[in-house]
Amino acid sequence: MVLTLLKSLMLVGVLLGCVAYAVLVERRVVARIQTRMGPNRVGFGILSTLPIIGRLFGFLRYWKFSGLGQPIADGIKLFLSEAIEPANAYRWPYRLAPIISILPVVMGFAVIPFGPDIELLGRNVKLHVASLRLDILYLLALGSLGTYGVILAGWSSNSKYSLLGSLRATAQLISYELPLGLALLSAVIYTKTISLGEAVEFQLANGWLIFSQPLAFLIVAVAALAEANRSPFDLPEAESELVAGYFTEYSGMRMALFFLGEYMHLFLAGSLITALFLGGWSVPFFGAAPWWLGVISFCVKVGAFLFICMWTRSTLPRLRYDHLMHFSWKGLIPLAAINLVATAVWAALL
Amino acid sequence: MILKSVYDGIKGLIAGYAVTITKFFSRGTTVPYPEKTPFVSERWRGVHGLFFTDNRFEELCVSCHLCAKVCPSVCITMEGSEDYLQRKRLKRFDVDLGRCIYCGYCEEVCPVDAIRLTTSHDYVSRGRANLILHKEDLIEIGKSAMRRGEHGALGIRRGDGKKVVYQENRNLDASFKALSGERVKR
Repeated sequence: MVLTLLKSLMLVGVLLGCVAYAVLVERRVVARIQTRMGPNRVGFGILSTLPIIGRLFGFLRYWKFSGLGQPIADGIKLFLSEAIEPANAYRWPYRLAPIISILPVVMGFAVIPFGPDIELLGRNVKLHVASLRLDILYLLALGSLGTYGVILAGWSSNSKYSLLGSLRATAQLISYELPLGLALLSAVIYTKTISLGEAVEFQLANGWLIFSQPLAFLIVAVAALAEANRSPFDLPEAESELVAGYFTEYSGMRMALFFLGEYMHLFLAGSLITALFLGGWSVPFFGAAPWWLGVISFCVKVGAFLFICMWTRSTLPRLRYDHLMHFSWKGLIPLAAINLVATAVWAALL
Repeated sequence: MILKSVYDGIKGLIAGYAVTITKFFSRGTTVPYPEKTPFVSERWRGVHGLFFTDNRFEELCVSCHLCAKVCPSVCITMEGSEDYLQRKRLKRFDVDLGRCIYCGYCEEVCPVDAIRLTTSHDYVSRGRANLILHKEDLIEIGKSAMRRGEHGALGIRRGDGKKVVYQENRNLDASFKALSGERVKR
């Protein structure tokens, strides 16, 4: 009980820190690709000017302009700015929507296995919060729940931009849940388990799933991008068309919740793909790795996924709405179905 | 048919991703400005400076008023006088940087290349009055530019003394005439 509480607290803390700095990394990466500098003014250089303990932070003077303080400055700004509420908003749905949209994503992390079981003070500690054994089902269910936050936010703000954004978002999320589910199902059939921890064990024994189920991997990656409202599927918040999409009317910490929720969604997608297709915490060419190396390997794989997302964001233009729908219904879903049937036949024959 | 379009799409995707990743690993052109000085061409038209002879002893200006005359934004105010050898010399020379458009006409028209635009581009002040540069300021700017080895926006390089300057100027006149459509006799 206490252990679970500790684990979930740690998880949320680490997650928020990671998300804050991932935003900084994304801004720097996209800036590099566009041959700009990115945020490089805010740093921790001020710590080195403190009277006595400043000596400890002397090295930070050289990192003064690395932008490392930017996430903290952004966070303070978002906390302190006023949460404006439109006069015509439906009050309680409007207030609940950000919470509804971030909660399923945070809950989703409960089943992600970050590493192998470890021995701590003579106890067997699992490196995931909840042992459900129904991980993939649970994640899919939570993914569907996340749509409610988007719908409620768009409807309750009583604004045309928000409503249009939320309509688009809803249609997109529902369309891309199908190929996601189908592709995950073929992975489930292949590994003969619905638990992520067992999927990692399976991959330890039989090689990564990305090599045996490449099509499923691609479909899951693309659908996950769409689920997380990421470019090139960022139609719900197309800045040039819809101001900010379904959270146009939100400000302050409520907007930050949406923002964090979306980023965490991307992290969740990366973790799911890592656990299911990239071998989770297994280290390549390293049979029995110590547990901390496994955790590092997991983080590196998620980081690589995030980098590819950033790379994609600065490469591909936003899809047109009907192209988006065609891509899902006429492209991904048939492919995923064919893959599913082929995997099922293969599994039945063997 | 479908295979062809899929192939084309994948080819396009790979090409796009390749472009962005090469940009990611290439060195950008932006420079974090106050920490690192950006590259400025020698022909940059920055703040004006009054230049001296090569021994930095005598000022070049002969107070002919051509620069004040040619200035399209009328930012040069000058007053001449005679020195002890009864040569025309500057008494007063003000450039209003608030009015200047950095066209470089003053530099082009000057027969002795006394006024030149230096590469100093980061000239700021807290008040408009400070934007009017007087003779002493301009001499200071010119001297520091000479110390840096600059020759102004015309890119005039002196080989051995003053003659080269006039030679270069004549060539420039010819090229300007050619640009404006006049025939140049060779």
